[in-house]
Amino acid sequence: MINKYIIIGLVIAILFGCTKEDPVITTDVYSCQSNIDNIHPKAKKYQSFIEEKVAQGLPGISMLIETPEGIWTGAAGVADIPNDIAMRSCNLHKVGSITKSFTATLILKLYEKEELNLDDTVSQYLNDIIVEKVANTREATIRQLLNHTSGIPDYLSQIPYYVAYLNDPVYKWTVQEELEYVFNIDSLYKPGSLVSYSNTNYLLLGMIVEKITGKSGTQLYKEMIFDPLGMMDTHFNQNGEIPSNLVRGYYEENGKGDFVDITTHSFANHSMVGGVSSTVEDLNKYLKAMLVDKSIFPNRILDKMLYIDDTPFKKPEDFEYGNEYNVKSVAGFGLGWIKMKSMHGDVIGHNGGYNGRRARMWFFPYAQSSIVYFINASGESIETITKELHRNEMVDLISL
Amino acid sequence: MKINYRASILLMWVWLVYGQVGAQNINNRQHAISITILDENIGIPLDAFKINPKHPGATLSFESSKIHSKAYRFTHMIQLGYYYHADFNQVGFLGWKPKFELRLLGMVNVHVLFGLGYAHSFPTQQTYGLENEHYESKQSNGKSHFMPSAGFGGGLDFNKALGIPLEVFGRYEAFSLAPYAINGIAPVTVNTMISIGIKYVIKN
Repeated sequence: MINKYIIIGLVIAILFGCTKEDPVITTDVYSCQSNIDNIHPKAKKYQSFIEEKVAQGLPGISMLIETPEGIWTGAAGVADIPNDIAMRSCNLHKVGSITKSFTATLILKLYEKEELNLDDTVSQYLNDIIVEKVANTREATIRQLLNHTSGIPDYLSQIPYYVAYLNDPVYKWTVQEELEYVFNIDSLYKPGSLVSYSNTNYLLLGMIVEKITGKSGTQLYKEMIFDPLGMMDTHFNQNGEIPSNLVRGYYEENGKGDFVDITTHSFANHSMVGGVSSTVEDLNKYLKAMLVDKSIFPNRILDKMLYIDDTPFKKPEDFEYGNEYNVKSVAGFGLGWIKMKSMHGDVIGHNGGYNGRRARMWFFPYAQSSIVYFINASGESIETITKELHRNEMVDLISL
Repeated sequence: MKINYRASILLMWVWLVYGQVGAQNINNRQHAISITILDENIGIPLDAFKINPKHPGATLSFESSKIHSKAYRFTHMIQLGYYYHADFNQVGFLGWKPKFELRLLGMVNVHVLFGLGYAHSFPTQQTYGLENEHYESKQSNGKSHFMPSAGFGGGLDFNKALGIPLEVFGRYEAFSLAPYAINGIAPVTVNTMISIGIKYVIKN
């Protein structure tokens, strides 16, 4: 008799499983106020464009476009699916690896104050254990960390790290714990000889700025970047806490169009590799201050920041998009910035994103225009839409 | 020359088992059911023996043994199971697991088992899908997987000492769900399962 109940219980569990309900969130949690007048002659075209993207399958999108004709922000879709809360252009998103540009700015600020030299070796600022156990840290320079030529392996690419992440996706990591995943791992190449994007570079840069200044990353971003530029809706939660008004992120794990909410997943949430949250308006302020107004750095430093040498990529095929796209390739990495080659000329900015999120921040010098956008989802079924937007339509929108 | 001790021990045991089968053909049949509680992890087999309270599960098995001798036993096991891996997936599975068992003093056993099975995984959270250009809650149909496995364990049989037809056992198994494209990084998952259980003999 008992056996019969056990069998019934198991069958029920298998058939129906235990599905965790997503939180109930009210609309007021996401209330925000845009500070942009939103007068742009092409506003309707831009708005129709993002609505079309949502109709094609994006859950939600926030976008800002600024051209010499004016500035526009818009949003379409939802910030929260189960609570049916509409996305707004002023909503808060995770910026992912765009954070690296902020971390590079902190390093260059210290360089400007002559508190470090870009050609100092990393070992001058890190403890002996790290230098002993992380490949290339004895010889690699700060500049090589910034432009991904250090040859230090990427902790996010290590299988044991990914296994640990899958075993506890909401675990709140520390920087030290993440760094340990590249302890005693072979270097990718001799420092300075090739380019390979490595998140570990910016993990180490975060440790270096904190060590030199004696302040936390949270304080440094706020005091040196967010407050001076009036980026009041930009935050960094080094303790890994998720802001309550953060737009939900949806990830399609199984390639069948089944999206799940992974807002609480801790992928790089806490670190100076990818932990900043912001809005399209704030990121555009930063982009303009850096590249248009040039109010963050004088030209001599900005030139160093945007300089790309001819060091070859370790895997060039990853950076060649192909002639069928408006954006042809990634030309290279500056110091916290990426340069891409488009059909009209170079484009400067950074991408961000991890499971459930995509962020883009690009400036088009040939058109003196910028575009910033966030998508609150990722997955196989919408990959074509996001790729088309990044490689083709982004350039088309600027050229409309 | 480097000796692979694990492989050597396994080969010696298989030889002993088949060597003894011919010598002592008792040919009794025993039927039993067993239940286990388990803890699942994604990980490299034999790399770590971790218990993660967020990944519980259970199995129910029907076991049919042909008792060739007092020392050795071959068992066909049909196993139905389920585990819950928080914030990732939940999996139901059905498998055939042949088990080779070495018995000592009629009380203690060590065993190895191999398995072939079918698994079906579902997300652990509410799923959403696009319906008429709008995302809505939807019931996920999950994904199908082939589930090979291999493991070893040990047990303590109370029948001889106490006359109770029960055995308690512990087991470590490695298994895979294939295909299982995680982020396009790996085509399969490699998992481990640590379980403890009770076997009840229903026919001797």
